Amino acid sequence: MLNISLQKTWKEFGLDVSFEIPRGKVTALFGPSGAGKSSILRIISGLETADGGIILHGREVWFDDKQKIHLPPQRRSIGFVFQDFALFPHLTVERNVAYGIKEKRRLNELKDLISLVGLSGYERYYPAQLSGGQKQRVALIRALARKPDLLLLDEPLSALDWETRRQLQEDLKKIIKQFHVTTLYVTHDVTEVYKLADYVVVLESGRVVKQGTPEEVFLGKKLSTRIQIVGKVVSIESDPIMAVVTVLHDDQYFKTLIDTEEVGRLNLKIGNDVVIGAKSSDVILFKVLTQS
Amino acid sequence: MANRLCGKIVNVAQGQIHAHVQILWKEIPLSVIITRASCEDMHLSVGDTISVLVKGTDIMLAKSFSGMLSARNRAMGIVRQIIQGDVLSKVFVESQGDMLHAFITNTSLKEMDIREGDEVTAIVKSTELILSKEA
Repeated sequence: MLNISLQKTWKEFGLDVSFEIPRGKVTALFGPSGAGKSSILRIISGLETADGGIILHGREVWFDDKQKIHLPPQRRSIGFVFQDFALFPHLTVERNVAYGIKEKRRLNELKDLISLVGLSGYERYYPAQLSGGQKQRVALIRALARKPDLLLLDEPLSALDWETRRQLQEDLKKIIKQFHVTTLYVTHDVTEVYKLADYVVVLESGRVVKQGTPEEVFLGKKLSTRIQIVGKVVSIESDPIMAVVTVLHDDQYFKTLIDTEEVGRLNLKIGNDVVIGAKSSDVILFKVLTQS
Repeated sequence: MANRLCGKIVNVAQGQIHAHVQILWKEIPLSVIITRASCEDMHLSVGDTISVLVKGTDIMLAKSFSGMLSARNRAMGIVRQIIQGDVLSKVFVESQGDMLHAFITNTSLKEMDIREGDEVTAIVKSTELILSKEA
């Protein structure tokens, strides 16, 4: 468990937050640009110092302004993945990943690590020869190679195209689970929160405004429908009366039929995150044919 | 989901699986069946202000209605506008000062000879209504 309480004031912006990051779980730090998400990551990693507060990693104090403790970044067991990959351009994939491994005896794990992110055969490639998705896989495995206690991901998928992002979300989920590493994931994408996070901390203008499971935070308990599915609008086809809105959730496409006027009222656009609500009495169940 | 009627809860009766929530929408009582789990999650209680959501495709229209019908929710109103599509028509009905809309087939519209100014009854089954508690 990581306990975080931070205050920092810049010229035109103030940060004052308190939250916990549960051990072995993925916590999403969610909010619009300028909410202070990346600043929090930089302070946790030790790249930046807060004016006040405390960062406790179990019993280890990483930062405490009162005790004047500020552990340098290299003494905090952290893996950091940035939006812009931050790979060493002059090093091959293999050497980029090896950079994260401190103990020489663990270098034989390199092959397995690289294969884990589906990059076997690319060991001798340089970052410039890789696609955006491949670069981010290298960055991720380099961060995990040192077996950190905490993995910080700063919008790691936002520089990628939509399809690559979708694939990488799946891979990320699998890999984080495999390493069972406590993760703090910065994003402004609701679907990503749903796909990857166990908990979400919502940030606005440097303050925590909500926290809980994604369901608690985004859906609340406001609607009586038992079926509530969060997804992304991928297409809208309208006639003057009705519109077919296709929503993608976990690789499944849901075609919903709504009033065309509603599309305008909600200002619904492709890429928007939406909740599909349906009464549980409105579904039909079929048993799949292969079962007895 | 464009029909949103604002009312007050006047009774909540919980069964083992379902809950029957009765709502007063201005002068008209509405009957809504939701799951007991939803009722508990939403902490619904008598006196709460609540929105009742009903899809236009779930509303049926009756004209010169008489006889018995099992659907609990009925609201008399006046047809104010009709937009005809290729298969469906959207019929706007004013009831108690609120505007409802129902999607019905063009065949029904023609057979029932529904026109602007007609008096109709909008009818919905209790199991089709959704409750939304606004923040």
